[in-house]
Amino acid sequence: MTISSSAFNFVSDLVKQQAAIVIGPGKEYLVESRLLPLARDAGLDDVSTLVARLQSTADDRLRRQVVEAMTTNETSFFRDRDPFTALTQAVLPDLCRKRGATHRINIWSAACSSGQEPYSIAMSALDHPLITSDWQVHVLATDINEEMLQRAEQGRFSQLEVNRGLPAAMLVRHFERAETDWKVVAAVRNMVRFKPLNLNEPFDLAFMDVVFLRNVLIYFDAATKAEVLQRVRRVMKPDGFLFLGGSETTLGLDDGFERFTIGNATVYRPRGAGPIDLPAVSGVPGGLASGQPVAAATAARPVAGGWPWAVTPSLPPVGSTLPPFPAQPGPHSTRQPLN
Amino acid sequence: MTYIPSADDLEVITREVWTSFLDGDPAGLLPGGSGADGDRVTGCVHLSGAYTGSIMLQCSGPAARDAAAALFSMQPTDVTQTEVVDAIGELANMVGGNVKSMLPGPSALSLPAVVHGQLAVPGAQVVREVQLTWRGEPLVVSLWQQAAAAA
Amino acid sequence: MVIDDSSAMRLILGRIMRGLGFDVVEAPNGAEAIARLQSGAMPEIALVDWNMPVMDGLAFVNAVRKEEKWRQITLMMVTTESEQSQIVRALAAGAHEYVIKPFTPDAIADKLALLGVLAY
Repeated sequence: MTISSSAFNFVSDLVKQQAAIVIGPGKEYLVESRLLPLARDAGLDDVSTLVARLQSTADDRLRRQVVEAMTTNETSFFRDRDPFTALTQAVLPDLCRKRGATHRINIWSAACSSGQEPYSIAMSALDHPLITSDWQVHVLATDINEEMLQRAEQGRFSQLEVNRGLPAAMLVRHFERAETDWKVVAAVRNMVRFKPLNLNEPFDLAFMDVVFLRNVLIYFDAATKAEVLQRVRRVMKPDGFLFLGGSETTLGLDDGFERFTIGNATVYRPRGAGPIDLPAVSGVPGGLASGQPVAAATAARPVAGGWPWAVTPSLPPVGSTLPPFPAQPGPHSTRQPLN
Repeated sequence: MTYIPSADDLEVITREVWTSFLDGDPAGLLPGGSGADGDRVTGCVHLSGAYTGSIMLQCSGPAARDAAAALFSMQPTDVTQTEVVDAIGELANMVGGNVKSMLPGPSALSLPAVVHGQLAVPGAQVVREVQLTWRGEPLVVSLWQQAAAAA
Repeated sequence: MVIDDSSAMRLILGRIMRGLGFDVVEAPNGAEAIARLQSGAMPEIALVDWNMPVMDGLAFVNAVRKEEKWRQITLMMVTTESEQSQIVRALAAGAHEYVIKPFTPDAIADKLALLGVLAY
């Protein structure tokens, strides 16, 4: 029995208010599966009854439990997908053009947790047709939790974890079986370095071309968010790229960043970073290495999100001294195919 | 020495199957148990090829009914023989398929068979077994190997 | 289209897919699924088990990929076969994606998003 749409709307409004996280339509099964154990614990028959109770009583504790159950950090490979599509199809090509002198790209995964994010980045780089063997991609993965870091360093994931977000072609290319688990192969493992780091304290790192700071700012208050963003910006190259979590933004916190849209992803760059160098239209699907036996089968699908896109900067803030942009759609501009 | 899954491996696999389809709560499946006696249901899949043997999933009648009810989203009282056979068969299939991937390959996995009672395969022996408890009921997962299939 | 010899699995996958907004057609093996296609069914995506009687999942994938008229059907295997070599075989035969059983509803939704069949 599935949850009614009014019950679903109630839960998704609650979560949006309390955690600024959006649970879009089509995710009814997610609400069902996350809240059913909670309902059972409360001695209730089903999720609809649980929601009815939430609606009719002022049970703060239950409210909090529901929000927590819905927002538990569910990490997966290529989480939210769009930032990784943007990485592969715009960011890495741009950097390949700009870093010709050093042939080196530094990427920082700043709240790497169990490791799916930095390994996803490494896999994207390994599969990228422009990143040939004369390039060095260094992925730095940090987290405040040392236990998590140790786990991440193992590079071992369960069958259930590799089922999430990871294209099957990448699974067979970049992982090998290890008893009941799957383990990243040496080429992936060697691209990532793990280090403990507390974003809340001053830190000193090499300058980064790309930073992934996703779904960690939500745990800080506004003042701390601003401090962290400032510290992050100080270790970024002036033409670097910052990816935040889906519902996060620098707006109102640090105005040293400028917001861009690449496909369906939002990326932030230090102000004055200049244009993003998109490669010529080529029809090369993102994320595939050539010469791999499974490439032919997977190349049959068009890449989700459309290729190629225009890169659209959002409107400059009122009173800024930047040159005027040509008229653009609003901040939530949709992608515009170049063809 | 070829790797044969350990009892822990069997438990991890069973746990993954159980938490995906039967129980939101990983703590619902507990290690240890007394093994089923009396009313039992056994689901079985056979392997042939590089490894020849079987994987069996054995539980009590009430547990089988509960599993079917959970899988089919029904009330346990509405569950019939058809649902029990399909449910236990599919659970044995999923556990067996995952165990197969840890054994020397390639081997072919048979379609599942389900019986009321205990199953024995002539010429085969249990090489690994794990006893678990689900909702207070015993659950036993065992890996059998055909004795004649040596190297 | 959900193709699996287990009625429990057809129920579970059917429920997930309906929850995501799809209409669902079922078949208990590859041969019956082909028959459905031949009589005009044109699913956007087929979830295919591997081990089934009469015609197994790999044979089904091979049969579908041979036909021009079925080119646009996305094929996703949902199976217990979890050896690396089996996954490679399936992808090489033309399956677009692969889910290992056991799976969670999120895993299915993730894969559908990857395939562009479902907006994330």
